[in-house]
Amino acid sequence: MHILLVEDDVRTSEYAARGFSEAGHVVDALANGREAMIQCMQTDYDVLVVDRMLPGMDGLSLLKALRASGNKTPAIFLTAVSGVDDRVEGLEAGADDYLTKPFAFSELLARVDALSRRPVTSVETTMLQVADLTLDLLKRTARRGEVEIELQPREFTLLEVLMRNADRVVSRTMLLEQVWDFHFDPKTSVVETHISRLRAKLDKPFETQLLHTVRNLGYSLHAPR
Amino acid sequence: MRRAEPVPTGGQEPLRAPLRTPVADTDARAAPGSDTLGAPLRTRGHDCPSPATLLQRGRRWTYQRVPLLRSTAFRMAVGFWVLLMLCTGAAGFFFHERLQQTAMSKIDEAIQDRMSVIRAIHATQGLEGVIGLARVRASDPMQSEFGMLLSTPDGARLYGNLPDAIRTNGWSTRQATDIGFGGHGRYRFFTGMLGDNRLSIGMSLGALDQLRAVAVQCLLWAFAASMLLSLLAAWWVMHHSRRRMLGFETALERLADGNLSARVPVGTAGDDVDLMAMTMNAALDRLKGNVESLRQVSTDIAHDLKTPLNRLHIHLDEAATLAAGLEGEKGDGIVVALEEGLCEARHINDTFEALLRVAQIEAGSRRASFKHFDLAETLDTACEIYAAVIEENGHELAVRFDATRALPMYGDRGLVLQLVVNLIENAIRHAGVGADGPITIGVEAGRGEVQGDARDGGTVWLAITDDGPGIPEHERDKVFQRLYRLERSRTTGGTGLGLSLVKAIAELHCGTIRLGDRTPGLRFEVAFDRDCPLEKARRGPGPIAMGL
Repeated sequence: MHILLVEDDVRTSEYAARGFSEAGHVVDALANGREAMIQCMQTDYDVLVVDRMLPGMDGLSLLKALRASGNKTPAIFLTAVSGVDDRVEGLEAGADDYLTKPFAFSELLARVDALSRRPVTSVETTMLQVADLTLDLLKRTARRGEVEIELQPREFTLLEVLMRNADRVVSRTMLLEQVWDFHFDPKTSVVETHISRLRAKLDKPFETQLLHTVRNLGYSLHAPR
Repeated sequence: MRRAEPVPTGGQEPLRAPLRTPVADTDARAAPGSDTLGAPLRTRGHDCPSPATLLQRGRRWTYQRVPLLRSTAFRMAVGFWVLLMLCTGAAGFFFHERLQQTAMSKIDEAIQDRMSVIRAIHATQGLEGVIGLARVRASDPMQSEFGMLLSTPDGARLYGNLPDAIRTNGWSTRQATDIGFGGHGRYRFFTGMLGDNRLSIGMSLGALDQLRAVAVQCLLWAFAASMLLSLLAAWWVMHHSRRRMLGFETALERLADGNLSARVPVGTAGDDVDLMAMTMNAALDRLKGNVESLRQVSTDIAHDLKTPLNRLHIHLDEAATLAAGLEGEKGDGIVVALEEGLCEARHINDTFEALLRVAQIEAGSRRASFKHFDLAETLDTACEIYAAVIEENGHELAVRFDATRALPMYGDRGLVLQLVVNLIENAIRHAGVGADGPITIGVEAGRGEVQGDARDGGTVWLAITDDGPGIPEHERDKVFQRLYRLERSRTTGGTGLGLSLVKAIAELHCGTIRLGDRTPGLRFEVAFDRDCPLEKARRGPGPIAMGL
């Protein structure tokens, strides 16, 4: 995957660039918004990682300009301060995701992975499948093989998010945002509780385990390897 | 906030928590709106001080019953009007008395003249001459202006048309009925000696009375006209000064909402009020400058603090990754230490972020993105999410509201959800501390109803209750303070900002928080004003974040 990283703090930039390289991605790192704009017009990237505060041209203006010129490359915002309005502002400017510093690199990687997998053309699939687990988005039913699994509405959404990101890691905060619409960090084990309930229905009665915990980061749904 | 030993308090009456900033008063929901004269004596969140002396209490009592009197201008106008009326009344009375006196002395003069004439005739022609003349006069109707009575010193009537009642010497004024005359007029008499006999001369005061009636009528008309005019003037003065006061009021209200660019309107007259307005605006300019530089400093600090925090995080994370490659027990120890360091760095960051968040919410710019939503649905979502979490923590959730009955309100659903979540999590984490067994966390909601009023009061409320040990009364006020923690739970995690955030969100929605006793347990009640944010949002944002 070809990633453009626009970040003016050298330390952060090195940290993220090294991480991406180790994960097998190709990274171009820039520190100036204006340069990034030109670079984006010349090269077709898979994902943009953009800091909000940049010399030359700030992240918001950069993204707005890119979107206005028809560039639809998925973009993720990095920001120093998680302002209450900043997230909305960033998303309105055309960002697809938002991450507040300091961040664990694994979190950034999980989000970048999720973004890059978003289908560019929005053909809606109605069936999701991982191993013997199938999810019917129209009938809102889940089954493993022939056995139907009874799910609460929000458990269904949780499973849907995990299945859409199958084989990748979905972080705790990504689940909070996408399943429960929490844009803050709860002090109790909301995610853990609901995951363990889902696991009890999804994995417990069956021989193979599909829902895996990724330490210090989140969860991943994938067929046994 | 944390719980501690239960403290016995009187009954279930919820206690009011005196909060620092506006909207602390729950009673405010019974009194929405503030800039009409009929409104109660308060602006949002602030009561007048209680009256101490009897005079003050009397004034408060009067103003509550006659709301118009609350306008200083109106009171002044009424005062001037009363003064004017007193002056006009006194002048009229004086005029009337003087007129009476002058007219009376003219009449007395006329009677005196006639007396002198009769005495002169008596001196030359004797008693016969006097009677003769009187007869001639009596026979001629044009000459009968005066009445007379001539009698001997022992009271025998010699001649005259006046009744015998007039006997006393000197001047007297009698009513017609007193002396046996018909009608209602008054009469003036003089009795003096004519040689050895006694002579009384009288005259009707009818003309004088008529004159007086006309004068009184004129005075009354003048009084009425000046009353009407001065009332009109009073009303105009009140209206005029009220308009100017409203300009001040509006500006100050916007300032109170955090809009520091609000300015007092300055008139063109350059009078004392304009001068005051200009001085005030100058002071506000200065204040705004100070606050803006403070905000700039805050932003700089935020940025300057976040950058090293971010780097610290990166260093620790990289070190931990490197240490993970080390062999043996030593390597494991390093990894654990580094992870603890990461955890602490994250905690510093969380506290910092929470402080920033509270400050930003308090600044109020979020009002610009307010939308209509259903509080019942939001609470239902929170209950659905937290039912499992509460169960997992060994407690119980009791939903005590009807989720199908909509509780429409205007605000930021995400923030209100966070408020609810914070209160529920607060109960989960702290209410059970010191409790004997599992506790029940209750969620209640409804529409606020003004007592004795058919309308719904314009509020919706929610309450999160628990039956844990509660918190001591003297600590209740403090739980909303930033970074405050109850003594016994200092060791548990958390930023100590959860309830500050709850308070900030409630106030952003013109809400009020009440912290009450449940015996046993605690009850957090938040009431939202459904109209207030709408009104404020329309006025537009313009807030300044003050301090961190």
